[in-house]
Amino acid sequence: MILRSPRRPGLAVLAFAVALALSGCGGTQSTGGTAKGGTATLALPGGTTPDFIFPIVDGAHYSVANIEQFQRLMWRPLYMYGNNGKPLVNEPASLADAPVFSADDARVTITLKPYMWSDGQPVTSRDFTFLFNLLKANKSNWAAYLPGDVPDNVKDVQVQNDHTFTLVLDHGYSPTWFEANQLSQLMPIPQHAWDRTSASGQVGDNDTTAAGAKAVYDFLMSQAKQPSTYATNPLWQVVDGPWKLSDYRTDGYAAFVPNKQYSGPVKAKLDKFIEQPFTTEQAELNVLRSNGVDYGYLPQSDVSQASAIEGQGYTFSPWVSWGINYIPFNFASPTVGPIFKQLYFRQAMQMLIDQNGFVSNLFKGYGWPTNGPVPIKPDNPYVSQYVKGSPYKYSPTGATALLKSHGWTIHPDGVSECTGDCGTGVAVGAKLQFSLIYASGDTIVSQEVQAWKSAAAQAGIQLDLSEAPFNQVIADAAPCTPGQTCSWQIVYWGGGWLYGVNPLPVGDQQFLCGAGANFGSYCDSTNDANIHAVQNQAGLEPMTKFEDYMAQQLPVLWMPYRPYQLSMISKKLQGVEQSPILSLLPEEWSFSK
Amino acid sequence: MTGYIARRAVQAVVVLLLVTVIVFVMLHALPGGTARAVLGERATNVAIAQFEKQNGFDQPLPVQYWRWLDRVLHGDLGFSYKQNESVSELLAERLPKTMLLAGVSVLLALLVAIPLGFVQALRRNRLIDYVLTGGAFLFYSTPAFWLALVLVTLFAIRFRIFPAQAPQGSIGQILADPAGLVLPVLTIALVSIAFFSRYVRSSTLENLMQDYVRTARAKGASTMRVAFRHVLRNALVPVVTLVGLSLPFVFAGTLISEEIFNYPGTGLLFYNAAVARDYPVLLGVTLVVGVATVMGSLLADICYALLDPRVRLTRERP
Repeated sequence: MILRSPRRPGLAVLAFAVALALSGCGGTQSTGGTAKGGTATLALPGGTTPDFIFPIVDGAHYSVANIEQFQRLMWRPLYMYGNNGKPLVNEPASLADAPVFSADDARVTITLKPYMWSDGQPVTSRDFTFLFNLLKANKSNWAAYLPGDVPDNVKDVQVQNDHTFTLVLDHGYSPTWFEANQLSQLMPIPQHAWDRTSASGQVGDNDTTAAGAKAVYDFLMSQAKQPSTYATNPLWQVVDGPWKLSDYRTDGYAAFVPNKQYSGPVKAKLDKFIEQPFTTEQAELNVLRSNGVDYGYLPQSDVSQASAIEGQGYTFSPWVSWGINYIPFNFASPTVGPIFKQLYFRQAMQMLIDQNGFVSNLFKGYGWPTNGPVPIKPDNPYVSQYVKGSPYKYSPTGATALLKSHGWTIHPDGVSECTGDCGTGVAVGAKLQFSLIYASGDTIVSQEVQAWKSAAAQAGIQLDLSEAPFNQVIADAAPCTPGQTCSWQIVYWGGGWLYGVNPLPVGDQQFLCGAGANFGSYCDSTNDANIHAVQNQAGLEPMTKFEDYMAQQLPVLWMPYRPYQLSMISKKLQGVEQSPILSLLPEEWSFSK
Repeated sequence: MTGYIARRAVQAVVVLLLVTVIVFVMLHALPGGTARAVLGERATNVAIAQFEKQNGFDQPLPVQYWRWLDRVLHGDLGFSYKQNESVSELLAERLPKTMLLAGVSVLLALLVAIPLGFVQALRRNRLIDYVLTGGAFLFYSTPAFWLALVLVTLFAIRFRIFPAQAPQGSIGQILADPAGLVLPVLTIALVSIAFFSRYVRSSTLENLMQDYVRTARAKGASTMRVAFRHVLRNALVPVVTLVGLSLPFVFAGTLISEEIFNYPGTGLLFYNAAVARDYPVLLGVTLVVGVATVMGSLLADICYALLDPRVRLTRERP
């Protein structure tokens, strides 16, 4: 899972004012049939570039741009997610056949497909054990590592043959969770080429000892720290994915050519695939409007101009990503924490957020509400009817009534005061006045909090707004620890949470007691048990129980979610599927004749 | 002259030290911190504390500053955790591109601005002066980003004469695609032309009223001879200083131009570093620009003193 920052519109509004004043419209039409070859250029989001090639990614480089949109073009995981617009496993793009779990779900047997590395060597179980040994010895450096998860929960790897191995787990796990959130992160790497401790050293079984595995990891990391050699270093040319890196610049430009040895069912049809970095959305928009990219995006603030850009030969297609948006409360706040701990108060606050209104008015219809930890879009088997049904609908009068019934004297457009029994820890005289820090630089985020402030005022809740850069908001939102100043009350960074490399939305990083990204220090033993049930028990029932409880309990305030980007895809480019996991599959693309 | 240069050099060093202190303090006051940027959003407080201890970020700011300055003086500008390269290497790759953009823009601006300003002064209060003055004010008051957008819309989107994106890649690849440089260069140059031409005009007017002009005319020199042999040379002396002092202004212009035209120079490097909280890069770029500005100012002063002996004589014999 990856914390998502909101897009910054920059100068986009201004750009379109100029565009409308000065430009005309033309149009192109795609024709039937596709042609082999050609170069497709993808515009990367402003300031977002791939900058790390080694698949065991460290914290500084743990990003969608590196994992889903760079490394996975070259090295495929055991199980690749994102299938036909849904957050489900993509069998043809995966490196292994479906995992087979034992009856007690404590052993899982994996059979690799008969794929070849680009240098002609077969992909074998040894390539998996090589990865696993490196992970075990260097887990603290692996950004995806969570204590207790893989590799900790794998007691043994038993190799049956060159293509089959069994993972012996420490206890039974939900096959759905284990495949989605554990196995999907594991991508075999070429032992026959990478198992060395220096550039001149011999390839051997160095990884089979902890010290050796550390030395190999250090060597590979040292190579990864030379980005100017990414396209020329022979190490990184040994791939099992459909693409090989042919050119890379440290500004983030990356060009790929087809891996001729790729053994998967979908072979690249393009001659070349380019990821083009852009300084800002404005720079990208300029190039898009001059037809300089095949696959670009429209800044959200310019969505009303989509038809004008479509007239220039593009298809408008919002990219629905697999994520949620929310605002954490600081339950650990010594001043207002006791108020936040009252469920009725959180319910009242949620009833003051007009999610549907935000979507239609601020997002221009390109968004959808968040009602719980499981996204309601794209269509998926996990979201429950209760969550889909929006448990707390917008109702300032309902919120006011709820507060009144719990001992608050309401002062509309003022500050309401506790004059009765307002709940455990809430003193008589307590006021409904809170500070809210939100991320600057995104007009829509600013509009959202302003609208919320107005609605809250109707119930006598005063929100004192202050803007700060995204980085500061994230820094401020760190979980409070004893002995440290803990002054934040409510924060909103505007981008929510993307379920990327952990596609099963189990909430173990945000809502579990003490979890690293549980910014508000929410802690509920029932919820913890529900999360563990999702991880350990088969079937969808535990997931439904978990999400319904979270939707009802409001550990955070749910906010509407926006697409990852408003894509503009050249009408000549065929076969583009926008994965909710945000991975790219350009091997499926081709140009129309 | 040596004394004058020495005094100015000492002043420059002091200014540079002040620049480094201000930059260092300001960047360390920024939120987020290097540790979280490097270790990721899921890093625990313990891991962050360990990282800060290992890298000396838990030390008092003056100690951190002294260590950083010591490394800088030994040629080590630090290492970019985000981009996996030394800051020196990153700057070595990007700075020449920015210098190319800035250099071509300033050169073009001077080549156009000097004749324009000169003609305006010679035709003072005539139609051509009014027209050129109006044009200069228009461009001078136009924000660079707005001008860039207008240029893109007109020449890249409407008429499709020049690309909307600057050439990418190495210096060689950039030079191989001069059409791609036209709009980025024009964005900086048009504003700079307005800026320089106003100075040339006023400097020329000032010289036209000097005694030596009257003397030359009294000796029978033609108007053209007076203008080109005497006035122009003297009018250009302040422009030398101006070019040096305009470096921050030009850098700001390149920053905007690089962002709008997606030019892979120092501006992009700085922007991405700011987004990623890549402090070593931010410090390095700011330091280099600061040094360039101070050195530009110093060189301009020295050139001015060489061109106009009165400057150094005034200093040496107060």
